[in-house]
Amino acid sequence: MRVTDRILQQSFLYNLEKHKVDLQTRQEQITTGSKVNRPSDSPSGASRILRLQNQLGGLNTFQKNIDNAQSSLEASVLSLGGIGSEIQDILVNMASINNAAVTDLNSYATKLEMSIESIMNFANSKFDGQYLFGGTNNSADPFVKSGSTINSSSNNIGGEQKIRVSTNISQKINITGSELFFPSVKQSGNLDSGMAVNDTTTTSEKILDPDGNEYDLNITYTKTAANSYTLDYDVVDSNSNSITSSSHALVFGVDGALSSIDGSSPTSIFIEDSSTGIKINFDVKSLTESASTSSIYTKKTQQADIFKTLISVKEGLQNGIKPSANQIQIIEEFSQHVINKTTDAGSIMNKLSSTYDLLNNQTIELQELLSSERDVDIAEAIMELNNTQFNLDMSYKISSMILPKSLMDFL
Amino acid sequence: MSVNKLFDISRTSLAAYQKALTVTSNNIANANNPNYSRQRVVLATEIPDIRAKIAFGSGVRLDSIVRVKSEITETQIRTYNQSYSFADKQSTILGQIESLLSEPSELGLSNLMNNFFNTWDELAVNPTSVPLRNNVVQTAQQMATKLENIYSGMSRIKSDLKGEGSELVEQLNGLTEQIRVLNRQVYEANATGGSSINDLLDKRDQLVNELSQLANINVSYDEFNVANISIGGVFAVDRIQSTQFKLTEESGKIKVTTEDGAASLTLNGGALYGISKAYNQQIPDYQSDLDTVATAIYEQVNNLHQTGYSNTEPPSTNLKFFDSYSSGVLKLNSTLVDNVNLIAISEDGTSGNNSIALAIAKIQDGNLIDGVTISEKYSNFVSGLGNDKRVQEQNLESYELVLNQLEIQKSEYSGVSVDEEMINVLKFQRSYDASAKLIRVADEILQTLLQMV
Repeated sequence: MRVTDRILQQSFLYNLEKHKVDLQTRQEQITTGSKVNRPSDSPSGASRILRLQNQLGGLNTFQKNIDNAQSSLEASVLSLGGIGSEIQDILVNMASINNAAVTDLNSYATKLEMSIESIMNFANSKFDGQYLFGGTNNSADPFVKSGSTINSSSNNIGGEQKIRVSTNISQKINITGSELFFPSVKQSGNLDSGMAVNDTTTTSEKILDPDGNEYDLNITYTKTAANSYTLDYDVVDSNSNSITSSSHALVFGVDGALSSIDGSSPTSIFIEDSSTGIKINFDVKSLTESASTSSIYTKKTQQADIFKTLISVKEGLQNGIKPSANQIQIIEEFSQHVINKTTDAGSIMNKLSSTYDLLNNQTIELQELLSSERDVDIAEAIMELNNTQFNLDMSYKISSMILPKSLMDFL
Repeated sequence: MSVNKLFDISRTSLAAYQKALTVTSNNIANANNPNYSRQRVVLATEIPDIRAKIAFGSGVRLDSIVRVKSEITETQIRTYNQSYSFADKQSTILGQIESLLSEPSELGLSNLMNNFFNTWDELAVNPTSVPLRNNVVQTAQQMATKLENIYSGMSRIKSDLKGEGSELVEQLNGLTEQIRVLNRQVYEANATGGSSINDLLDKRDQLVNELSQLANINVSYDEFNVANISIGGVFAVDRIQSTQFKLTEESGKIKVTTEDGAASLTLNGGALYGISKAYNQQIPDYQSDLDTVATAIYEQVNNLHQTGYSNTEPPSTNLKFFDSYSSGVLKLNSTLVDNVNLIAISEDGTSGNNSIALAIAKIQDGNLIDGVTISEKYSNFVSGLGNDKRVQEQNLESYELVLNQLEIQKSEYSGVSVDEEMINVLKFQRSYDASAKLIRVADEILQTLLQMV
């Protein structure tokens, strides 16, 4: 092989350039701490980094949401505690009313009025600009005092507020006004899809008005066509007079779940009668249709509207009338209901708390993955840098020894 | 045979070695000229003087100066030049596009898209919050701005590429014309009996090499050593004429055609191919990928947003979140930017309902584009671009290695070794000295004879 001067120069330059490229790469990795600084450094790695970063961003948002939701729920628990405490006071007063003289009833009425006021304030309490028990309606106070009565500003205080706590899981984070304050009748179970047209399934439930009077809530499901039924309800007083009634069309989907009520997405039906003060949140959203025998289960929460009941009791006391056993039962049931809802809020908080821990663990795992994909092993990189620097120095040294030499130096 | 014969032989010898020294010194002078092919002197004996059936040598002459060149290596270098220049140009262009993305970093579109969707999740926690609504608008604007920067950056690169392509075609035209002139000189020199044209050939080889860096060329030589060259299957130059080319654009694609437009080059190598591939295929493909991602965001967000109700009194519905999307420009609905309460995240018109916000946040998890999520589609585009760049970088590295080896082979064969030339200098100098000494001997012989008279 002929070794010309240019071969020496060219080889030296080529190798020198390689060392410098290596050096530059190592320097960049050490100074940025990242081995993937552009997609071409590792196309698949860059793609994984983007995916991991997105997942981390999502987890971070979920955790922030949980933090906010926890605060909101803590505020709800405080308000529920306030309501519960007022109700307890009322029940204590009710117990002592039995032994009180008629002339003292007015002072009990005054105490009760203050308690009602206080409960209403708790019911209208806000957190971070949102009503705690207003459902999804933030436009007005959920409960307003009008003359001697307290009414909900809208029936639409039952909106559930949900947040995403993971990619596929949404969590309800509020105790709605309607679930806390409205009496409800919830029917679940099954309607037999094999029923003939015009066949019926009926149920009957006892309900109370705020004055403690009893009524029957008669409900009839009549099959009208395949997957379709008519729901008729009728509230009947003790003299079999119909107080209020209505009819709704139910349609079930192929999966057996209720798909529509009166052509719209299923929502609660409000049974309301202003003359008696009856107001019931009637929920049939969990009803299904299948080929098995019809069986309807009914769950009642609260017998009557608590505000109307308390006002009725107060007005009775002002007129020298002691509360009826049914009215006290309504108040006792509400007290239990508040405790149940406080427990619900607590269990949501617990659930959110464990979800938060889970998200924390996922975050750590993802950060580890991201780190292994992106971060430079500094010790290794510094060793490589030193090695490359050494090779570069050697190249310079050798070139300084060889390149200037030729036969001329020895002639 | 007279004593004068000694003078004659010495004279030819002096002349031959002087010329040999000239060639050697020319070699030494060009030792570091990469385009120079070393030249070698070929010495031959003068025609012998035959007397009485005995042939007497008549001295030495310089028979020829040979240019030491390996045509196989040259052809290989030209072939790899095309591939190397293509990979080099592609690597540069793709590197420019890659730098527009700022990935993987917090400034990249991936993170900004993620932020945009996450702010909907955050808004869902407090649907009436104006700061959170502002946040949604801000992240949307950041995402739209980055998208536009990437898209318009690609368009700018495309426009620069067209300008660069035109310059390269001008360069190509200049080279073909220079080669034509050199071809003619080579032809004339060869046709008229061959004066030394080695330097012309070196110059022409250099130009052909430069040409091979621009486009895929085919070179053949005729009996007069004239180089006939075609570029991309189209005749480019011989000794009589050279074709002039121009860069034209048709239906958004550039191509190189002859000046009259009769033929267009089929490019598959060289810097011009690198440019045309990026201009005609890669950048439009990348922009189309961005269009797909942006259109999905535009349509999906709007579809949901239009079903929602705003946080105004009375609530409005059928509001678009994004006004339009076209060529990288994702425009937000300006009325909504002015009044963030018009962001419609309520499903039923109540101010605290957040169903639409949750649904919009969930868009990022849906397999909406060819069975993958929006962010996956984008990260596939990023890794695709990174892969294209990496392939070209690796090609560039391997072609560089091969070219370096070929250049070493070329230097090994055609390059000047100063050591070798120094030995030649000594050798020719000694021969020159000896010839001069011989003249002195002849002179002394002549003096001896003259003294006898």
